[in-house]
Amino acid sequence: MATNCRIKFHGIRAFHPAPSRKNIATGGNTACIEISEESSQIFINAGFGINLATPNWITNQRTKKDSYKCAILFSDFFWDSILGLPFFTPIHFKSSHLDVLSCATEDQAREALDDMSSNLLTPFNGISSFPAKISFHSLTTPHKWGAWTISALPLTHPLAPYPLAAWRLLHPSGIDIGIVMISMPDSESITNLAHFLHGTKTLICAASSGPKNDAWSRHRTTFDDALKIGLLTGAHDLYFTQFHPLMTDILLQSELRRLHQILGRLNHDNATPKLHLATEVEGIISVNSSRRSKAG
Amino acid sequence: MKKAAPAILKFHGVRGSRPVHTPFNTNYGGNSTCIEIDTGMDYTIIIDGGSGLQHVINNLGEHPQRRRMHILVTHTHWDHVLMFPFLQQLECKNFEIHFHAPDAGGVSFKDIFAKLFKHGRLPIPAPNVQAKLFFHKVTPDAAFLIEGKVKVVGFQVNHQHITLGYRISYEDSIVAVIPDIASISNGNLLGESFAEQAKSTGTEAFEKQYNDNLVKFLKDVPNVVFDTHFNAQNLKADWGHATPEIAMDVCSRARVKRLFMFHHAPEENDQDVATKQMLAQRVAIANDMQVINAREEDEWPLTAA
Ligand SMILES: [Zn+2]
Ligand SMILES: [Zn+2]
Repeated sequence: MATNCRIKFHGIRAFHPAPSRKNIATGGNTACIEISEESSQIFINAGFGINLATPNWITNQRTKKDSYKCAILFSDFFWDSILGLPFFTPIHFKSSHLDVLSCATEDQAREALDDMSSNLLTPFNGISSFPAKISFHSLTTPHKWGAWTISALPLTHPLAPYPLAAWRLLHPSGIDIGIVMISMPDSESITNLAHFLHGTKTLICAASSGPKNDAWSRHRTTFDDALKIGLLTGAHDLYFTQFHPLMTDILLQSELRRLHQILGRLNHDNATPKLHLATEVEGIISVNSSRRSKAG
Repeated sequence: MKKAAPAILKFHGVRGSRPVHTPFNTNYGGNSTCIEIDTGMDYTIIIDGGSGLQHVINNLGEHPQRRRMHILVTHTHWDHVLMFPFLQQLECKNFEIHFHAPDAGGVSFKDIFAKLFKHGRLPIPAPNVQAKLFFHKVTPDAAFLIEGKVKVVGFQVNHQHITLGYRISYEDSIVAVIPDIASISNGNLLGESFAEQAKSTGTEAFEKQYNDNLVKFLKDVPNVVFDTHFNAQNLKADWGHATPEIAMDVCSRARVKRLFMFHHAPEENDQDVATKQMLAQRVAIANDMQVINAREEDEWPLTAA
């Protein structure tokens, strides 16, 4: 079964947005990845990047009457993963249906989205004040969504009182995408992730180390951790994302060079995984069960 | 006595609603609201903590003599507060941070500030706060002094809850910052208690009074920073924002010399923002007013004219 699946990075920053001339080649919006196939649209996190998906939605000439459905997979409910949602155009239409998937309970997810859209911080009044229908799904077993089978690995994290999630998306055509937006960098977490994502072809992994070893990055996987996970899973392509706000284009490029050198020294067969920086400016990445290509 | 050099108006974030980064908006910048008034003294004055505050955070090391920061908060919508949890100055010993802010919906700014650090929402370890924090409640029409030298006057504008515009005077340097503001007409009353006031005086009388008071508040202020989020074509009055036309109308009646347009909509690219200024300047020239686009990291000495 052939299909045309596309990945678009709308937001590649962790912690807080970093709009800057120094980040033109990579991007400055907080976390959001769009995975679309045929007519289905899945978002990973709803940081400010999700608003870059809105113009596409409008130019598709949707009107208030057109029904629209998407899934939003939340790796976590930290501010940088949820604050774009109040401005996501479809949420303001009654004809939209948003499926919210996470490893948190429905109450925990609702509480987070209520915090995000609190009347004190927005012109809205909690998640139920938006016209769109929002359904909550707490994943314990693989979940069918359209043609996809979505699995989640619950992760414990000292900054969250609810489980975070790593994701694996399988399509009947053979497309297999693994996504780690946040994880503790200890060896047990890395081993669990590698086990869960083993055999994935396209791996998207957080590389949130900063220019200095600051307290922020201590609770996050680094570039080296991401490479380790990529090697353990046997992924073909590894996309680094969730960059520290202080990692400018130049610093990110030099990290990529350093990682290429490490990979070269390991003399890994076929030099896989192929390493990429996730960027907001690059065109859509086409993922196909038989071939992968990048369109500019 | 020798006069101090004029204070400098510094724009750190000029975008409204939300921060946005695209390759097409980097000239004016994509960070949300943050403005600094630099008096050159050993303290600094900041207006709002949108994502533009990261410039102040990143420049901390450049001013080691500065041990006090006064933050005037216009209101608590995300685009004006989202950077506060990342304020590294919170962890600085022998440092004072004074927040001057109105309540919102009966909740104190201190309580709203605490919500930004909620466990499970904050993507970084909770800061080890070593700075001394002071929360000063500002009421509409309040007038107070910062460091005994900088006079601040508040004015409640037409936006959700209590949203305050500030007029700030330091010797001959005078600037007013009018954040998110909708024009008030035809019963479009967004501000806290506005509907109640209109009920008692009559809507038309209340609206006239408010509009007169706004012009009075800005009367002869040489430099005004004003919300121009919308344009005449896409204006949604009940969303709480103004247009260049509204800003120019108010400012020309108040005989403002320099109007800085800010709170640029996230959808506006550099070309849109530049066009906005060109069109506005054509009209403003008749009123002897200069119209300037606020641009991230631009600095303007606050001279009298
Ligand atoms: Zn605003
Ligand atoms: Zn506002």
